[in-house]
Amino acid sequence: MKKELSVYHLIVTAVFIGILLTFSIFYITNILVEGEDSVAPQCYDGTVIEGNGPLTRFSRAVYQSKSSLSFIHQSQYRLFGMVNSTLVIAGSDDFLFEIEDSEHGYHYLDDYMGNCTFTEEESAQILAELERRRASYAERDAEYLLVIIPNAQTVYSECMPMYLGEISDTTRLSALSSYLTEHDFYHFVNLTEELRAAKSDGLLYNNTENSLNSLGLYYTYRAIYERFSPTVLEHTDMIERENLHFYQHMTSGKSIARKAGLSDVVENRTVSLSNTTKLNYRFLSNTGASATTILLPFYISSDASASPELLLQFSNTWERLQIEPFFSNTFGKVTYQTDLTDDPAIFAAAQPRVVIQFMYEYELSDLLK
Amino acid sequence: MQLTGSAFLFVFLPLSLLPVILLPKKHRRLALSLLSVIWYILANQENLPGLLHIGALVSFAVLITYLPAPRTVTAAKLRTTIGVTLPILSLLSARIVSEYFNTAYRYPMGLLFVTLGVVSYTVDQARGDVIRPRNPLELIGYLLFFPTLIMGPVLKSKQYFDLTEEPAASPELFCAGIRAYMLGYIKRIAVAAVLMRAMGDLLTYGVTATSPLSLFLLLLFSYLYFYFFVTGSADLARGVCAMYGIRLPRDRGNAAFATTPDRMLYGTMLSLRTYLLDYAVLPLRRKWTGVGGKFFTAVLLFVITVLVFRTRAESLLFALPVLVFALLSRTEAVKKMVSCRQPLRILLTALSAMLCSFFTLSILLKEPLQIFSLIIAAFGHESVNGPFYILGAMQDSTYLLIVMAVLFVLYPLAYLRKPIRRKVSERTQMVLSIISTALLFGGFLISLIYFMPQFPLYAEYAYGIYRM
Repeated sequence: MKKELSVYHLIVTAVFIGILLTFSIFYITNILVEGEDSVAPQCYDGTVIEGNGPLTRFSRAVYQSKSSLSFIHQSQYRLFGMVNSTLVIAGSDDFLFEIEDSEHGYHYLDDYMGNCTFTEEESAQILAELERRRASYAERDAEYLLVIIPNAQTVYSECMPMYLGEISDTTRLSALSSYLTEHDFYHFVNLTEELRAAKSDGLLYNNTENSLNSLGLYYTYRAIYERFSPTVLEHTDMIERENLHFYQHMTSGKSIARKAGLSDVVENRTVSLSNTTKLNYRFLSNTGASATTILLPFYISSDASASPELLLQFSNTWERLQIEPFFSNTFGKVTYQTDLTDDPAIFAAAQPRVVIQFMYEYELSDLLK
Repeated sequence: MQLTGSAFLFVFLPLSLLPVILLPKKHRRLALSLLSVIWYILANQENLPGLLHIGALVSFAVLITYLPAPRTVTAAKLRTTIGVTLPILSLLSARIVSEYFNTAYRYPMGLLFVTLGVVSYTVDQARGDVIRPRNPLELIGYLLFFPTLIMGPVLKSKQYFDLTEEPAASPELFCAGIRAYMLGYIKRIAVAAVLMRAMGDLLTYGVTATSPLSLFLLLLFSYLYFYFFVTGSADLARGVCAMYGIRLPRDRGNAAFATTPDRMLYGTMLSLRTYLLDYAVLPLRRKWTGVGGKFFTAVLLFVITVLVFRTRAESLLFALPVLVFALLSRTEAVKKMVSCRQPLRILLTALSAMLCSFFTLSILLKEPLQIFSLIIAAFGHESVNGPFYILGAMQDSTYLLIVMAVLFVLYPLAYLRKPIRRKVSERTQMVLSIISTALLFGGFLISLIYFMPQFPLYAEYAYGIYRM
């Protein structure tokens, strides 16, 4: 028995010392061999270990170890379906959703649950702002249309964690839509229903970013196109779905995955338009702030062609690039602007008959400014 | 650099073990004293005012010890009074300043234990019941004995000098130390830290989002956190000491099986109760005999214990239910009830934990009175958020559910541990021991790889949570 005991003690001691030495060597060599490359910018909890003393450097190597943190993020996601972030939650079907957008002071979950809908006063303020924009463009013989792209969790609410329940009927977007309609303002498009209906065709949003993919933007184009007057519909050709080919490929996780430290773990199912798509247009001008395309073989003004000149304003350059083949292949002259400001120079060059502003659901509070 | 910190575990511990174990027995206490000083300086290098405070306190203790012996009784009494009063005053001042004032002063790590050490040595010296250290460094080593500085156990001076007279490292003791250390590490990092984060998650959703369920979870988690933190720290201390060849006494009573809440509170840190009984309560009890004296000293013991954990009047308020129950439990009717059958005892244990939990939550909240706001918010209006939402709000809900399930299964087994041990053969015991060691190693590894990097502040600076 005594012999068994001593063997047992020897093994326990050796294993314990072995564990300590292995970890020490791992972390020390990490600092020595890879230097600061092996160190993540911050610890798991967002703190940063500062200082250059030997003990501080060792602590940094342990708590800010890239490989160690990556292992933790992966394990948490795979074992518990959980992400470490106060900004991100993991949904089903590999969807990641944002919790908060500090830039716009917007809390996705509160809105999802209907806890932060616009007040009557705020809604009135937004209506007044939209009326102002409409009137401002109307003075210059241009129609105004606001296109509101819903959040990914609004369209894919079934992918949100079960404990959050169903999406509220009083989200900012739905409440605002009702308010605007009640007050006879029709110069806006809430894409929620159109996109929900189109889900059966394929993935419309990036699963690791709150943004539409190419297919989602096609349905956005279609929803907008269908709102034009019968004359325009008669004199232009909408690109039909069957004439387009979209393909899905996996890329590393986009912005939300990066926020959660999961860009290597949760891949983005990226849906792109096939490269074989015929581009029947050319660029008339392309500056940093705007780009104008005209339909080939040559541009005929709307007075003669009934194809209105468009000015599309985006807050996101990537979206403008993806939506370009749809609009530019349909309308005679399309100008793309990479912000939502009313720029007189761009307007003068574009001479639009219709100004379309694209805005995401999380950006709605910008209308209050 | 506390006992769960990476620098301690991977650098300080392996490097310090060799010299202590290889030295002749009679020099080991000196080596440990030197290590304690080094550890204390390294651990407090960013808190210079705190370091100076401790330095002054330790110098005072050395000075008062090595002053020539007083010639008159009055002088001796005066020396003892000063030796006891000044450290306690410095502790109280530090506690109050760090609690109520937002100043540059940071409460130094282990001030409570250093103060208790100074008081213990001064009183023992006055009683003539002391083992004199061989040199001042050994006295400093006692006061700054690093394994016990975070959360005890509280060592009386004689006890320390007895234990460290000739530390005898043996493979058996070393292994017991490893097991205790790993158990303490798992309790602190894989359980207590996660509970702490879950409480943070629940509180993040603010007072208005509190529901009866989230309040219940907060109370439950705060009690479990308290239990796992305190007992885990004691296990770490016992483990480290055992590796150096010092067999510390067990600091944990049957808190998990206590049927009255006061026993639950005392049971998490037995050494503190023994210390207070020895130096504060029993001398008074000898003077004030009778029911009134017993009552007064029992209340005094309780009040000091509560204030040790948090020096705030509101803490006493939230500990009041525990005190009332404790006093009630002295009556015959309740005594009969608590000596009842097992299932009811388990129920009483749960009830005691619930009563304690208001106090344990008050220790953790920055403003203890926030508990009232939480109660009002939980019951004052219809809850907006359902149970799934509350569980989802906690990052570690799935893991915590697993932990709770494991505790639920293991808890009744803990009652059966002793009867099982008595019945099984030595060989079976050995097998069980091997299995439990393997499980401990597994838990320890998971804690190191998965949990430790998630809690850098907690692992390195947890002393800030309970200002000890």
